[in-house]
Amino acid sequence: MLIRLLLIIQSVLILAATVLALEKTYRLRGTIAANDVLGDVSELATRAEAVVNGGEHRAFIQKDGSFVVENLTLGDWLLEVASADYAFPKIHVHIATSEEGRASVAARYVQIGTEWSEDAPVLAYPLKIEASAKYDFFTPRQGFSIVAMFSNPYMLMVGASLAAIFIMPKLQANLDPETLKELQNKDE
Amino acid sequence: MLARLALTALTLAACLPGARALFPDEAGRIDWYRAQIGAPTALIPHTHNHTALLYAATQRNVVAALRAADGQLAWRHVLDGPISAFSVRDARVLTQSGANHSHVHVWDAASGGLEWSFAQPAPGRGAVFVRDCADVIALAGDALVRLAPGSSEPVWELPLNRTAAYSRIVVHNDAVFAIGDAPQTRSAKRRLHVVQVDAATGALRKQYDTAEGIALRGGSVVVLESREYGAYMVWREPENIVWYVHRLGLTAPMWELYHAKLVEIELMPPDMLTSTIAELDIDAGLNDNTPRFSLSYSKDGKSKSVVVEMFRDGDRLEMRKVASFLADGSAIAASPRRSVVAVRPTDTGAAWRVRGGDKHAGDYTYARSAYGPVARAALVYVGDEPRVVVQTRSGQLAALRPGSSEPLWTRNEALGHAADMAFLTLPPPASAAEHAAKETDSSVQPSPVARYILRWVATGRALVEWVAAGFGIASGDRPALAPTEGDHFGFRKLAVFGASTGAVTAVSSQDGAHAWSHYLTHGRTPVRIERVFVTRSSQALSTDAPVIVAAGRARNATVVAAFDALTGRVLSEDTLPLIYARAFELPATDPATGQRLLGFAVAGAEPRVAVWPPTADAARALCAHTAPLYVELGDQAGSTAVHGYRVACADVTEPWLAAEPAWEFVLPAGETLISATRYEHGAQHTALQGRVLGDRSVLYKYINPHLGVLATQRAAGGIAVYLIDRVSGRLLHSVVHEQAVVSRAHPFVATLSENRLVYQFWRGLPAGYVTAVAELFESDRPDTRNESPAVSSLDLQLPSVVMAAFVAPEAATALGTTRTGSSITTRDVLFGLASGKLLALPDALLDPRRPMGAPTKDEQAEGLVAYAAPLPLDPRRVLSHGHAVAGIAHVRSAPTHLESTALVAAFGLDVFFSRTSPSGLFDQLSPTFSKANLVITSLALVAGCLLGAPMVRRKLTTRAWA
Repeated sequence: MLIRLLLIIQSVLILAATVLALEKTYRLRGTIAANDVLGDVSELATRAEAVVNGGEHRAFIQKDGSFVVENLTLGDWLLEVASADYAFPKIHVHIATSEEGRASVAARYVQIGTEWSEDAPVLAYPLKIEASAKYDFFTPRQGFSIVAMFSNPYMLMVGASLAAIFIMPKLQANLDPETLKELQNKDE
Repeated sequence: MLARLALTALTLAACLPGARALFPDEAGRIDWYRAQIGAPTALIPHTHNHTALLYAATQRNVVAALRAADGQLAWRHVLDGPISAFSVRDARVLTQSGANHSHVHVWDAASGGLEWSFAQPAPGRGAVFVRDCADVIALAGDALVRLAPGSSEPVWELPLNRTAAYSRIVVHNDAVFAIGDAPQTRSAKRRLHVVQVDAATGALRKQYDTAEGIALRGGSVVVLESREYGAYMVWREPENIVWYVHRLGLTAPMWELYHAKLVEIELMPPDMLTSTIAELDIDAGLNDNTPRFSLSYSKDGKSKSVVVEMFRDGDRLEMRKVASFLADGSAIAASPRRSVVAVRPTDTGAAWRVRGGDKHAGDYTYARSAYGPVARAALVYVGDEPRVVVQTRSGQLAALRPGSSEPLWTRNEALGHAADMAFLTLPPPASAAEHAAKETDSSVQPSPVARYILRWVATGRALVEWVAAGFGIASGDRPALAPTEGDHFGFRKLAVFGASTGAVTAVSSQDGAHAWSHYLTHGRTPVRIERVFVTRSSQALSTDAPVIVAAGRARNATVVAAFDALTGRVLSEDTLPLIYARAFELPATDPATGQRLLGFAVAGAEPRVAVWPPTADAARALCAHTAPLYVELGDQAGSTAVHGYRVACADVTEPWLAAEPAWEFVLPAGETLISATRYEHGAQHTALQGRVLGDRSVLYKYINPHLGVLATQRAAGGIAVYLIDRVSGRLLHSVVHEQAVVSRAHPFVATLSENRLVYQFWRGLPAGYVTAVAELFESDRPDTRNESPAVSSLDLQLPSVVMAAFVAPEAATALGTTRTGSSITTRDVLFGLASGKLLALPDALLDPRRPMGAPTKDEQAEGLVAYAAPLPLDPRRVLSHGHAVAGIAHVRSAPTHLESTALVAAFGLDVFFSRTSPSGLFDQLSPTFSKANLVITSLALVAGCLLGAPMVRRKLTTRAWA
């Protein structure tokens, strides 16, 4: 009895292992296309990778910008292009099979940290991805600017002080002597 | 939604404290970057478009092309696992790599661009090019396949039987041979099994056993591939002096040639029995027609090597001697030309000889104690001039040329294996005034008058120095200094790396300049260094040298070596007969040497803490100077319980202390530990005991230096994070992330500083990577403190924890936090990203108290900005700017003498150092500040006053007379 039970358990395990082993995998194809931001895609060949689900699957990018991510199963995936120099849009890839058993890919641009909507337009397959921006890592140094110099609060204070020193006596000199006397009396 | 994100980004940009972004001219001046490849496992010379290149496959799963002229990287790829095949042919490079699966990649040899690739769902065992076409024959698992560029399916696939472990493929004309080790059985000895397959169709033609008693790896068989003569195996059976030459595919007769004097006629039978043979043309592309191999033997007490090439004289197969070398510990390598090179150790380093085609010889003068013996060599020609590239055991590559014993270039690839790094603060260069302070010490100069005069002289000299240095008060950049010389700002530190190759390497944190190296071994085995400590720091004008200690494992022992940090001289080297579970600094100093004590906790039936230096006095010093010491064991990945021990100090007569069980923290059923985090050295320091809220009340920080963080994998799915006290074993807080996934592809990374824990994990889609932040306070009510009369782990109340989760911009492989001298400056959290960026995000962005809606007035006054889940990847916060720092495994920070500025380092494979100022350069003048202008303006004002004074006096006099 025990042997029979063990045999049944063994059969179930073998079946499960076979099903797991036979889980069908799919390739995801895409191309990085040149645009105004990235004119020569061959420069990505040693400087970028296609990354799925943050590193579960990786693919190098060929000289013509194409890439193939292997061993994806049915379901949802996040495709990113990890580059040191360029920013690329993130893409939600949904791999499904139709009733006839044919695999289909629905890919949409997504924003990390937001719910993924199915209303977003589906991208053409094989995917064609363009760089959205070139990273600008630096802040340009501020050169000498006369406007910046005079908009400095200290300079404004100095300006006000100078005005008080040089312009106020002139204004006083132009005052009517009677008005001046009145003002002096007020002060007293 | 996009508009909301944009608004959030704008708000953040407007509200967050402005970390100083890098100016273009600072790149490469305040930072340095070194692209590493790791220690090569194969070096193949190749010339492409008149550029001599050296292709390398390495232990760090890197395939790279180095320019032979200068050693610079032409290109590099980090592959997804160990490299199981590597070949260069017809301007293409072939690699097969992977751990549980395999990828065949074919690269353009000149640019490194990928030409095509193919994936197989089993570990790779070998791959070769098919001659005269771009196809590849690959072996993965037990499947032999032919792959063609541009095709997503194999041309053919043949499952091989499992009677042999195949690891070698040879292609000759229309035949493919797979050779494997057939295991020993009751009826048959160990032997080689050969499968012959039709290269065009994949049809099995023949399979047979041969070479009885021989294994493919073991120095007893070589496979020779000749375009003209065919593919052969040459072996000598154990306990037999006869050499057999078997042409692959021919079984009748089984061998084409057998002879006792096949290679070396002088060799006598006793010497023959201990000889070994090795393939020289490791890549068949090196020599198409006359493949070479070497025979190494001992004769009359001398080790020798003979290099032989195979050729055919009419119908007769012959072996011809190309060169012979004295070969004690030699490395021999072949070039695409007929020449071969042998590098052998000498008293001053190594000597190399090129023979076979042209003749050259030279020496390489280096300290073997610094880099280890020669491990591998390569011969490459730049034009017609040979370059001999020598690889040492520690991972150093050096290129040599005739006529010079100094290397043309070197690459220290040990840094690519760095497991730990310690910053050593260097003493600033002693100024004239400081020298005077020493000279005028009353013990040196008893006369007060002489001391007074000396001080004035020194002050004058310092003034002259200052003027001569161009009023250099704000410049810490003095590239002319030696790597072991410090500066006044603490920017120049010594970064000492310990590598798994046994290398201890000290470089300058300022520019990466090499200071010293040491190759640490136990017998002949390199020590796998895991920890580096500073046990005695630099003291200005002190005669005691700072000390660096490297500790690592070797076989069943622990090796601890102490170095003079400034010279690299070995001060002591101790072998402790133990396997430690954890190495850590102890809170006491050695009375004999003044060094910080180190502890090595040993698990097992009798847990204990071994003290280094290994003296009973050191152990007694620990017991005398500190409160009870607690240590926890079992906090490594895979554990299900963590045990705390109290170190017992009774009757200390040995350099170790027994550890008594104090507490046990058993993880809930079904959970296993994946990561343990504790404070890095000094990360718990704080300048502010609390956070001042908008209404001027204070939330007091929970600072517990014994805080420990355990992350566990739950069988039910997700992870749990436990905050425990490492002295009492008390659980302080726990949190479960049910949707988190932690795996090799999705590591759990964490950093702990002050009262804040930051960690990152993968949460599946659509969230992606989540950065969670936990901030610990003494109470959730402002102005309320811990009521305990004494600060003790045993009395501490539970902390009040405020948590928030953010969506991380990318996968992180390591986290760190900036550290400044007094911890007054806000801290940046450093993210070592998988894409090779080192990102610094400000404290305020990761504040768990950020309000969900628009901040109230009080919240605004506190500096809080509205919560937004995504953390931005602002390129101006990427410290590594355009560098792709590959394989970041550690992110470290060290304070400088300026409170505003912290040094940061990221290493793992590549090495990157920089400095950052999270709150801006509030204590430094801008580099564009013109000191000359300031002096000129001041002088002009004085001159104006002097000129204007008589005029004013004249005017006043005139007015008085009017």
